[in-house]
Amino acid sequence: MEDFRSKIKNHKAVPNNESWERLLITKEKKALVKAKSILTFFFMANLVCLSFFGYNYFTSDPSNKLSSDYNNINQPIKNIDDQEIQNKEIQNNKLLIQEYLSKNESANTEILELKNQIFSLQNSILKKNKENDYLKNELSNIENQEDNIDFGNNKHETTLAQNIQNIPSENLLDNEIKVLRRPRSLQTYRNVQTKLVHNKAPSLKIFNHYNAFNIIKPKNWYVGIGTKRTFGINDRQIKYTISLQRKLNKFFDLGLRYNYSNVIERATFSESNDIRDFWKIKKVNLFVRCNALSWRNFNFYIDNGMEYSLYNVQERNSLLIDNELIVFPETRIWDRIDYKFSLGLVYDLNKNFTFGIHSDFEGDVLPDLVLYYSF
Amino acid sequence: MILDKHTIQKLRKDRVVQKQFYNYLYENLFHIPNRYYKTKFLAEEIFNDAFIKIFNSIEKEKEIVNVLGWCSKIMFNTTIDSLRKEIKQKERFIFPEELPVTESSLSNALDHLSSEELFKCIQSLPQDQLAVFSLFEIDGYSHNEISSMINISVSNSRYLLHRAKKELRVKLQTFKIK
Repeated sequence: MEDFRSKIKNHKAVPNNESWERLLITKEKKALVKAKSILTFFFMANLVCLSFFGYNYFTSDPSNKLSSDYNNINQPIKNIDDQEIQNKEIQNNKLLIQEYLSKNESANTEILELKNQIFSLQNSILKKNKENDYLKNELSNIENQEDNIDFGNNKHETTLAQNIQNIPSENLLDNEIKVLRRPRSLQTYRNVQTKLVHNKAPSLKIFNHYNAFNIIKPKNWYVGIGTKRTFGINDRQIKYTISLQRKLNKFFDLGLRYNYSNVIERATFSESNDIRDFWKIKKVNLFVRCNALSWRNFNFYIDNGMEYSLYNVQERNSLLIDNELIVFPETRIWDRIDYKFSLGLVYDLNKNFTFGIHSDFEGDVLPDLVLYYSF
Repeated sequence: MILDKHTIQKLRKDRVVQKQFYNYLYENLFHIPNRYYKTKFLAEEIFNDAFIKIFNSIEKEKEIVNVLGWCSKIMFNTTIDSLRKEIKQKERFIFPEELPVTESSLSNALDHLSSEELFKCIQSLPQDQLAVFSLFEIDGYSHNEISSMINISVSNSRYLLHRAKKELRVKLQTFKIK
């Protein structure tokens, strides 16, 4: 006899159409549920977006709303002759051109004034350089004079020199060290030198041949030049920098920098190709430099100061007069004074030259390349 | 039976072919949900749910070698999943006075019934007892496996099986009288 388990497992059921119909209904229901959930999601998303935009719209400035434009559209159109329209356009264009020409004249006069100011500033810089040169000469002269000073006028120094002459040979070296500890004049050092040489100390013969006590002149002045060029998709920038600074102490310098930058639009026009947008900026910056960090030959500095800027902006503009396109430049000139902050990282190439990068944080992240000469 | 690429493509598009496939599976696999649910209606609901899953899975496959085996697995898993939701945990303890009945007498009695009578007999049991009886006696799962499948404790599974057998014995006696 067959096991009841195998009877159950091998039992063949008779299919009926009702179960098939119910299957089709179940399938449709499941598809509907899926579609419902998707639609609900989109509805909620729309609701959220609409509420967000509605909130923005109602809390925004009324002048941004377009209600005035809609009111104008609803007003009835008046009947006007074509000739009147043309005449009005021509008059408007004439007024625009007159305005532009007057602005141009005033801008030109302002430009001339500024040019004069810049020239005077440049002259003052040159004068200062000349003064520096004069001072240098004076310093060198004073040093030369010191060599020739008669010690008879300076009693303390002469007695000291005589005393050095009378020091017995056994105790010479100790006394000489005591003498040399404190800063002395050149003649004092020379006396010690001759004494040592006359004693014929074998290890000190070296002093007979050359002067060991050359005074090293400190280099307090730095002049720097810098440049930056960028080639963007819409424009290219050229920038030049000249700076002059003087060292005040180990950490701080005082300086003056002049920047010239020109941003020109990169485009080619079918008409009047020479008229294009540009930004010419001239800046004069008076700064205090803090030499914040130095590690081996690398130096990191921070500049703070005030800056005067002169902007000369030109934009390409056009008008249609008598079916003819007239292209003209529209210039704007203004100036401003603000606080200036910049950073720099330089490397000492040798005793005189330093090379590095300097960033003003203007417009883009690219820094300027700078080279400093110290003297 | 092998479902090749051509048949699967027909199955996706042709409603007549889909009905033929449905009837084929109904004949051979309806016993799976039928022996776990008391009423035919409930069993058909479960069968239809499983068929939808089978149909969606077939759409992703290129060729199916053993159709019945593959479909029976899906059918069985769907049935057990729905049972797990329906059967509620009710802790019972087997009292020492209620001694278990010897297996041989019950199975001997069941062997004498036809398949329709068997289904009627076991479907007369309460749902939880029916599920445990089918899993233990027909499918051969242990109490540990049954407890993990339908989320009941092992002792509860033992109790339900004991009760199911007891009730079946009573019903078989009534069949005998008839």
